[in-house]
Amino acid sequence: MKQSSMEKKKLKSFNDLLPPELIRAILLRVPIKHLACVRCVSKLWNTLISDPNFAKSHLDLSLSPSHTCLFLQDNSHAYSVDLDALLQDDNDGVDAIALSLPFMKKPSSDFHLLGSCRGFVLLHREPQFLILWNPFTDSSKRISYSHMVYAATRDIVYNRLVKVFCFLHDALLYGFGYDASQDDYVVVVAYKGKDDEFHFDLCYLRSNSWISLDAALPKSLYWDDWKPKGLFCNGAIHWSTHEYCVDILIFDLKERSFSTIPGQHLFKPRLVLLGGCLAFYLYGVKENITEIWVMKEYKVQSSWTVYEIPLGSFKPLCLSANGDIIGRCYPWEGEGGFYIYNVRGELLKHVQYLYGEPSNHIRSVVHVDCLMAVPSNIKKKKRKKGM
Amino acid sequence: MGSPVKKIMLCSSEKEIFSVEEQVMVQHSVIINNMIEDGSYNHEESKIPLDCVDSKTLKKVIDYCTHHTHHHNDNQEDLEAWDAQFLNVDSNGLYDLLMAANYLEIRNLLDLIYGTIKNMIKGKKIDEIRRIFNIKDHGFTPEEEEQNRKEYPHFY
Repeated sequence: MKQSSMEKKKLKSFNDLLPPELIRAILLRVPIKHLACVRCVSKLWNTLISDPNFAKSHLDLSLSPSHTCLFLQDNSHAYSVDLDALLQDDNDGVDAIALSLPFMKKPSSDFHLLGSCRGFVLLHREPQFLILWNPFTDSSKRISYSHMVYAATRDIVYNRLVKVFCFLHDALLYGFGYDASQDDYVVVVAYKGKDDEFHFDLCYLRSNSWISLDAALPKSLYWDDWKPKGLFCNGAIHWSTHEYCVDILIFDLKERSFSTIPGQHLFKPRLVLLGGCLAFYLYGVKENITEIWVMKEYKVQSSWTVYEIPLGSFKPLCLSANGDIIGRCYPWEGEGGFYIYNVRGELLKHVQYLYGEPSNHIRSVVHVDCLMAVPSNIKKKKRKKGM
Repeated sequence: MGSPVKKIMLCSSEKEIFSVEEQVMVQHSVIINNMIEDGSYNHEESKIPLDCVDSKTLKKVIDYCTHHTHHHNDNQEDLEAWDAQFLNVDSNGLYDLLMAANYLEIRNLLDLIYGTIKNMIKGKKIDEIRRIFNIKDHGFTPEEEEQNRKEYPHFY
């Protein structure tokens, strides 16, 4: 009798033996790049993976975050490179995958990369649009900031009147982040209005609603000190100074307040996020050396770790789980492709492109792949048919 | 030497009784920890009935908890080698262990099994995954299946 029940069990499939919540827990651990294939294994798996909460849990669990570097080449092409693949032992080259930019019309020269946060990339397109884009799923949406264009900008008269607000040039501070308390993505921007007053606006991207928070601005901020581009980590957006960095300015998205944290006494630092850690990189302090300072533990001063990369203009992109830095060097300094250095500044690997290096790709942003749809208040229409 | 090691009784689905060091189970199982803490386990007369865990699986679970309690200072490599050997069971044995670890809420054992099953999935072709997990009825309609095969031939 026992034999036959064992036999019966043997005939049963994984899907019958385990409850869906355990199957879901297993699928949550499968790296995102394998999920497209895995969802075709069975209808049940497909249903589990298609659930919008699955996408969020998969990202939050971050057991195997997948870092991708997105490059813009001239103004009509983008392509992505899988940074994690670079670390694998058996690869002999890297492949760049072409992406189509999320514009309805062919873009002109007037768009910029503003940043990335939790799976999404933020683009800006003049005269008055932000575009939130998930390059992995290729979903996107547009957000208008026309109110700011009128509140802030100079009137430029050429042949006709054009009003423009360019984030890169007209914003005093800007940043793109995520407020976990509201489960929403947020764009912040500080600017000087026509009225000569300083303004600070936040846009919540789920509802596309802008709110004004001028009172949050620090009274004694000397604007010229700060580089406008902010970077998001640990629930806050961070800005560094142009010249000597003493402090890092932060805006906490949940508390909605500014403060500063001590930085390092560095000259002309460039702020960057490496593997989720705040970091600075500097050129020219020592000849033919790029210095990289990484704050390995957030707000822990003793955790600053210095890398000395023996290249004069190395651009760090990502920090691997075991503390190696992946980056690129500029064309005048060496061959293309990607370089991986350890904490002692030793070159571990140089990975070149398999099919030739795409030209002219200075503008880049590193993002984490995720399956999430663009945040929205509009409930998805029923898609029962077919799925 | 102080008081003797405190034991608790676990009862498998076959009504077999296993006597285990209390500390071993308290450290690993959230459920048993809660039962001891809130006083719902009486050392004189209680045994914890585990109706959905058979003796073979329960013995494995106890082995795991005991080893990880007494060897938690071992180096990582040794522990990983032990874990790999421990999970060298057939797939039904693995699913039974997963169900038991889930029922008893043994977090590190759960993570270990999740990771193992994940590695059985990762990087494989669909036909191979279906074979490994004995998925004969995938649940797609013939049209959906054909559509998928046409769209992603390299997955199969």
